[in-house]
Amino acid sequence: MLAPDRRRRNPGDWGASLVPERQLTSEAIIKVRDLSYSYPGEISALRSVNLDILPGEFVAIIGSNGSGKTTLVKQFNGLLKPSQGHVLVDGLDTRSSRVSELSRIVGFVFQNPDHQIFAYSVWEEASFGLKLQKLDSESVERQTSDALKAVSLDGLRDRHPRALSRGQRQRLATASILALNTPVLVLDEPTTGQDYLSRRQIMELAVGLHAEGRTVLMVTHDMALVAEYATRVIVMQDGEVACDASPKEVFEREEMLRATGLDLPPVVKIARGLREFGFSETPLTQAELVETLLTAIRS
Amino acid sequence: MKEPIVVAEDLTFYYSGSKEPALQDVNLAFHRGEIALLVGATGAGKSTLYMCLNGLIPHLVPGRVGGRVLIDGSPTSEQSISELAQKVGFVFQSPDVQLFSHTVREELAFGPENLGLTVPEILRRVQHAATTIGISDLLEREPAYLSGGQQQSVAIGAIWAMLPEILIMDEPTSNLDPQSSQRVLELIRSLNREHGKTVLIAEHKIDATAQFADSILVLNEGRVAMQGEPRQVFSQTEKLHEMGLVAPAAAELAFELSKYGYTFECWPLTAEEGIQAIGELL
Repeated sequence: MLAPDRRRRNPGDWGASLVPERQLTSEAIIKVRDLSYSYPGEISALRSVNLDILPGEFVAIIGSNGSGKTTLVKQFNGLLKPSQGHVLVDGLDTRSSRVSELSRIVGFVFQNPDHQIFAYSVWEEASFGLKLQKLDSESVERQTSDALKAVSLDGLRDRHPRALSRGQRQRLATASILALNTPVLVLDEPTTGQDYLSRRQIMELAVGLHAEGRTVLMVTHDMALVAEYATRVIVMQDGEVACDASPKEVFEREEMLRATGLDLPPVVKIARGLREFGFSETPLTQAELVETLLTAIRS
Repeated sequence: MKEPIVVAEDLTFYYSGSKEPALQDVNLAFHRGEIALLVGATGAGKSTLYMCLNGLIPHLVPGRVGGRVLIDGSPTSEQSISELAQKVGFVFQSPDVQLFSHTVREELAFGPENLGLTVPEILRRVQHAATTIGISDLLEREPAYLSGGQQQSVAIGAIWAMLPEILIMDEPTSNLDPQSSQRVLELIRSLNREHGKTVLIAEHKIDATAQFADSILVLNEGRVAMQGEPRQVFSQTEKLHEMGLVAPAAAELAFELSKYGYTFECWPLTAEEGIQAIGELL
């Protein structure tokens, strides 16, 4: 759990003191209670979801296309509001809170950067959210500059976003949210369409933010990312939580993964196959696999 | 004897106003009926290469061209974009960039309509594409409300209706979950095997695609860095790393173990091959 003083370190004024009716009974920064949601005129996209997201967790949300992953995370900053049930974000009920309040707590990086980017320069895009928060120009300058540095775009601050590559636009979209210094960060498929180095860079960034104490929620199809970075995995299927456990536990349930349109990450698949040859370790990353294999081969 | 269907000879391209070439002295050949996987970091020149193959370069995109591209034996500079559109089909990375119609049927008819075909021929093409791709049951649905995998199939179908000999696919599975990715790749392979189409796929998801490819082309900073069979290319793991690229997990694992003196007669590419090769060491 994040201690309150540690949380106030963030320059945004989202802190608990401004919300007198805030419920102090739970440690969870996001509480989901009996959440159901239907898009207008459609069958339900989320059904009776119950979750507690604790401060400091690195949660991967996985599931097939259309399983409700993105619909779920859009509830966390009020982009979508429950049809039934409640979502509490740092004690704020999303049904009775404005997106502008919630967005001080939950930063949301969209899957497709082009749905997010609209400004005429990299700098303008990255600083837009801060300007809305009416911060002084020095803080805007510093936080924007830090965010652009974090994604290696500080050299391109005057560039038009359309003149960036897809990977760079993805990083710009991330920077404009990073600049807000929210305690919770939602990354919707952050590495889709990224090459290996950009993917590494984005994940190192996420790891760094997590290490600073932020809560990271990542929607992804990339099982290798789940294995390598997540502390907790939520598997969505047909709008319901099919499984909520550690990566190791989730990957043990191969049948369930297959039934939900997923697959084991390659490293885990290889380690699993090697059980037949007497290998009994359960590594999640390539480095762990190499290390445990060397030990096994030598003994 | 394999017959080349796409040939680039000393192909160089500078975008208008750029001092750095996007492609430089590219020489390559893709053969009729093969599946080639294009690998390269962002900015390596993949998109520029596609535009050279479907004629947007030199016909539409401003810039300076050197060398030439031959499609089916004739230079792209001597064929119009619409002629080339019937030979080289391009499937976009995100289906939602490509799809715009209210029904899948309209989407599939759009290409053939623009080729100026007769109505019966258009209808025949729509039927053929729907059947081949396996989306006949979706014809009256609205593309925007389909799943990611279905949308990608419709996007492929819309190109298929133009009956191109060559299909270029820009990261066809990047938005898809693992099983939908597998299905789309299997669809691509069946189009290749059963209809003899030549397929060029660009993908960052090497693990899923490597096993589907007959050949790999590696682009690096606008140049051809490697071209060959998958096993030959992916066994040069160190060289790939220098270009910011990776090999499939099994090949990477073999590379790591080789540093400790373990050798592999056959460099593994798939998880299954990796299990077999490494199992023998245990």
